[in-house]
Amino acid sequence: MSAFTALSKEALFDAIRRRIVAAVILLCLFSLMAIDGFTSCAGNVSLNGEDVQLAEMAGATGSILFVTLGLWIAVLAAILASDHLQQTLEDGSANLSLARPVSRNTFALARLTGALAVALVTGAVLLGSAAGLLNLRSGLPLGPALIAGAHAGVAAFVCATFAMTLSLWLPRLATMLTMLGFIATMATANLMSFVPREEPWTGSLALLDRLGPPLAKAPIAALANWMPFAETGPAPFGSGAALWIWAVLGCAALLISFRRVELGR
Amino acid sequence: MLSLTNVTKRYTSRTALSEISLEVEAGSTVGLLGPNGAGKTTILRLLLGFTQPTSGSVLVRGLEPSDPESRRGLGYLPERMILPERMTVRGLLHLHADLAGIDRGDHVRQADEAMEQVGIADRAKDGIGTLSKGLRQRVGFAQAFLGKPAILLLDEPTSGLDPIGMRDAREWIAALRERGATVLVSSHVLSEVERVCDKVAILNEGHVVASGSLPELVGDSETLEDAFVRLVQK
Repeated sequence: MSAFTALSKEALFDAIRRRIVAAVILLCLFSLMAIDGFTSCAGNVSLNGEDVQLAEMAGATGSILFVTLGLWIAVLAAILASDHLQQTLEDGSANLSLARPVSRNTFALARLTGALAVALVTGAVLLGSAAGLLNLRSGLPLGPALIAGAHAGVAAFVCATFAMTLSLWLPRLATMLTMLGFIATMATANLMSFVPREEPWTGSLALLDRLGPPLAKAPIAALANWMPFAETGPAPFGSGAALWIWAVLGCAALLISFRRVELGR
Repeated sequence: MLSLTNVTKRYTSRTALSEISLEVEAGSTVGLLGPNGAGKTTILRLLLGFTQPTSGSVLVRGLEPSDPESRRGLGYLPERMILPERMTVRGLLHLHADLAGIDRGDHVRQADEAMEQVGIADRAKDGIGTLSKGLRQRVGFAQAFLGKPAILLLDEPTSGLDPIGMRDAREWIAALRERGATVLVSSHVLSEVERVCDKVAILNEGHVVASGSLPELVGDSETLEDAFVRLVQK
């Protein structure tokens, strides 16, 4: 077994033993029940004065559901990553592993893998169930859901890398609060970019939307053909590619920062 | 084998090591002696690549410690032994066998030999969380001895051991010397260093105040303790 595989396995066991995982399993169950109820309801709604069958709104409501779940996965990844590496430095357990012929990159990536695996499995269960039920009950195609799910996974990766990097410099609570604030601000900026405007959108949120990681925008853009009546902005490829660039930046930030950390003081 | 040349290590508020040079030849057992805060652990951390020198050069078998290959065939026993409590003794040794790059087919034999050597073969299936402090220290020795490393860095190796354990530890270090391993032992237990080391380097406030074989450092009518006090208080 390679050092990376062995360390990733250990990191996964450490992540599974965290108390938050029990809470995540409970939330998954509640979410699945909510998804089941959400996709099985029927009725009429009034849209711009016209009666519309709820089934016709499934694309929009399904997209909102999908993006909300995607952001929840990103939050979970950030919380898990906020001390998954730092804890090993604090208790000194990293020292024993790094006294072996193991590079710091391997160690940091293995810890990231352990934390991310829990978030991604949770994401796969929640988003997979939502996509399956929306497909079965409302006939929404699975292709966009797959792409949006992949974007949500990359968004979780971005949040985990930045949380892990911040944790090398900040206490755990400060890391978590910073990441939660960042995810909420990015999601707000991304969602506001879809509001129709006559004037070009300016201001700090607009700047953040253009330059920051499209945590919510990429999944929404991927689901564009679930919402043929809505203006969903840039093509899925554009925001998806931006998300991948942020993933590379996050990974580089983590590896460079971890190389500079002094161990065992 | 291990070499520090004109090494200075400064932290923000203090200088841990100041222009020190130290050579550890292949096959020798060298003791680092010094009061608390003298810089002994900093030397081990530099050799392991845990920290970078502010200036000077550190080499392990001619390689920079930042190169993971410099730690191939190296065993390390930290002063503060943190072991994953959920793992069994055997599980921990198999994990470290993976990290050390030992062939998978050889894990069982290597782990068994290491456990046998430190007297914990009967605790192989026990969870580490159930072990006493002394037994955990023995597990620490077992992981350091895994794969018969050519270099061993031992930081306060007898802390947490009872008198029998301390005697055993001295025997294990003597056995390492016999098989030709290069051993660097950091300790402030003078008797321990006196019994197991060929050479001693005495550190004080980040300086090597004396180094050499015991007969070179200890005067005719002195004990090592007398020489240590004389050199440290000079």
